Amino acid sequence: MRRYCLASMILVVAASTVPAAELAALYKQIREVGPNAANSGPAAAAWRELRAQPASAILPTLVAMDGASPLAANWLRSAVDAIVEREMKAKKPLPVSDLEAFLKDRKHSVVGRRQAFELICQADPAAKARLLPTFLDDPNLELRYEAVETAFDNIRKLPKPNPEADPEKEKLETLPANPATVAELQRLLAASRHFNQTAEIARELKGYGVTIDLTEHFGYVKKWKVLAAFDNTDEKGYHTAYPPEVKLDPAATPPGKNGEATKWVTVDSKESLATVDLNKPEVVGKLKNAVAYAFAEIDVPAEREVELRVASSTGTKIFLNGKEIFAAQTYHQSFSPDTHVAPCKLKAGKNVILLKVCQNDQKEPWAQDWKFQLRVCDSTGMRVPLKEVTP
Amino acid sequence: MKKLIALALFGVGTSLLAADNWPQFRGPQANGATQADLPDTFGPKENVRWAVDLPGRGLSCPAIHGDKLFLTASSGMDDTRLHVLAFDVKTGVKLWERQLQCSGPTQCHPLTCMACPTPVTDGKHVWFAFATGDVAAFTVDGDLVWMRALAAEYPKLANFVGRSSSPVLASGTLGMLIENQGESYLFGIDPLTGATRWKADRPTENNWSTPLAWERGGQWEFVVQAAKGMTAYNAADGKAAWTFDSEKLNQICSPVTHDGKILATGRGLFALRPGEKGVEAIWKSKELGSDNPTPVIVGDKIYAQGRNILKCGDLTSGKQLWDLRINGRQFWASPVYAQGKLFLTESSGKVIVVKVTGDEPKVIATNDFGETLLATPAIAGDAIFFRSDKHLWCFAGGKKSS
Repeated sequence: MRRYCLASMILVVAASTVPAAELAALYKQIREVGPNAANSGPAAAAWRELRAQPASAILPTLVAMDGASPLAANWLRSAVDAIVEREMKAKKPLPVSDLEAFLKDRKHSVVGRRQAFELICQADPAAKARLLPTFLDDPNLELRYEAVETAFDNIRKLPKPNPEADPEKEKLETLPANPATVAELQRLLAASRHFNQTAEIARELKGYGVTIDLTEHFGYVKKWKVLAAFDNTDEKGYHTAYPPEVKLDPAATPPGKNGEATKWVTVDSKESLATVDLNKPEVVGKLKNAVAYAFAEIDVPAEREVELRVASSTGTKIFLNGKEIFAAQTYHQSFSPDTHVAPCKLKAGKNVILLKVCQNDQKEPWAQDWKFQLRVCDSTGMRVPLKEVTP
Repeated sequence: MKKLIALALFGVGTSLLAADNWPQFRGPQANGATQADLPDTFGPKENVRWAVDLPGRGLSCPAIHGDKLFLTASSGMDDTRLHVLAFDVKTGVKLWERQLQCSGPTQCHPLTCMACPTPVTDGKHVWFAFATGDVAAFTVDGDLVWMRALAAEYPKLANFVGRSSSPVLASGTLGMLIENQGESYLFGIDPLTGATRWKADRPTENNWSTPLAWERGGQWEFVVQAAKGMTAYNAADGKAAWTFDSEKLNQICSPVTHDGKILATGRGLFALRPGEKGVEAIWKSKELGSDNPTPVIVGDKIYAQGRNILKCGDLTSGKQLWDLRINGRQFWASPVYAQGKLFLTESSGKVIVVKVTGDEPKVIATNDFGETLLATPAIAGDAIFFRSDKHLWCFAGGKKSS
């Protein structure tokens, strides 16, 4: 990837009317920005030189975002903003055909391609309708989101039996049969990678009588073994490595909170998005200052990169195959899908996921949730094929 | 001019008194008050000097210096696009806009968004912050000076409920409070280079309030109000100068100052005087507490809002002078004051103007905008500025009861 980025940068810089070496030096300075505002002085000087360049510098600057840190990419994109602003005020044209070629090449950076798309639309508002449908399978999630959203809007606008119905309300309208619309919605459902957008399309489909199992669609893990409860007084349990995270033994019931026995409970969640509610008496029951562990085993055919995405509103740690891969000591933020994202690599065959979910002592009514959801997906949010093999 | 700018950067309190400027959250002296002859009635169709569309949502307020107004907005999928904007104060013409891709998480309560902290300017530079932990300095003409991605630098900062604390300047240091359930700090940042000069550990509890920059005994301090107390930090080195412990403070509204006293708001109002022997609690009023809006200080009076009750108190004695029930349900914006009039911004889109010069307060106008208003307005020159999620307005002229 890096070699590709470098090669395309050299080609594009050479193609611009600005001396290639001059631009390359500016990009080098800007790309060296780092934490604690490192290299900001030289980068700011380079930025000022860059924003003074003609429109021919736009394309190489977008290319320079390839492989740049998110911070450096922001420096570069704001320089493009400044160049474009000046050129537009002077009523000079933007290099639209070059930008379109850049946009079509999906190997370029997410930020660069998104900016290229917006610049094309700024110069030619009609381009939006032409280009958006080409993004339905785009790896750039923003472009894909907008493509799906625009197509979905067309369906939203279809006449409804009750035009006054509030789409936010729980009660669904029953919509007249419309095979073409259903087919289009299913196409958009397959294309969407955005959680709320997907859920909204599924809801619309339900109105047409098509039920989508979102738990399945998103790749949620349903089968768990839960062990509780250990002590979390003063939130210290979050930092304490209790037996399951030292050596996971589904047969062991080590002493827990206040010396009381722990016990394993098998959960096969039928809740929406496979929520496991630890407060339920059949799981753990309502406890304060407590830690619960939940483990699941999944089987995948080959080694692969995935993301474990977790919803939990309390202190959470995620372990994969005995190694901690994520930790967040936060309590009682909102319970939302994909709150925590842990990129990791699954090995071929069986993998053991262990979740540690901690409850604290807060008394407020809104601070009582103690539950979780976990799904396994790729970096775009698409579920990955796996078998649940939790014993 | 150069002297003025230098004063602003290295002793911000001296320079922020000019009535043409509203350079930070709640105005030149962070007390919500200024002198300006403003219209009683205004709205999208009345006394509009100019109005412009905004590219995204925002609860941040305009920061104004001279002929430039600075604002932030956020937009796009999951609110990940951040906009920094500059407008001509007189005409509303957009002077420049820079966009950033956020580097931190964007989850928050649907009421708020990533463009919540208000920018601060010294007339030469402008500092923008977002709830995502992205912070950037630009010249007032739009040249990038530095940028930081604090969520990337400190991955354990947690943003699940949104952040609104605005950056403030004191004695040549930019104070930036990031206080939440993850790692929490008050950052003291070199405003010209962006480097951290110091960072003070803060409690890991959510806090949306903006620190107060004030001068005490020749030293500038950042005063931070949180749910369990108030701490002042020396702006030069970040060392804690004094602390006031209390379980009853408010972590949404911000501290204010009057005549050498700090006023800590919450369930009641505490008047504090930090000194050699610690913090002296001069008086406490049960009645003068606030919920979301930060109180306004005018002379010896404080105007505080608890839900829809507007209260006026005497800052010498702590006694409540009057209260007034306001026709409104929810107030997130802080009130502002100019020449005898308080402007109270109700969330559903009504701005209630209350005349407070006589013995009895009197509602003299209720201006309906017809869209949600959550941001605190700004005042500069002869105009008042409001922003919604869609528009930025400048109102001036018309009938003036003052």
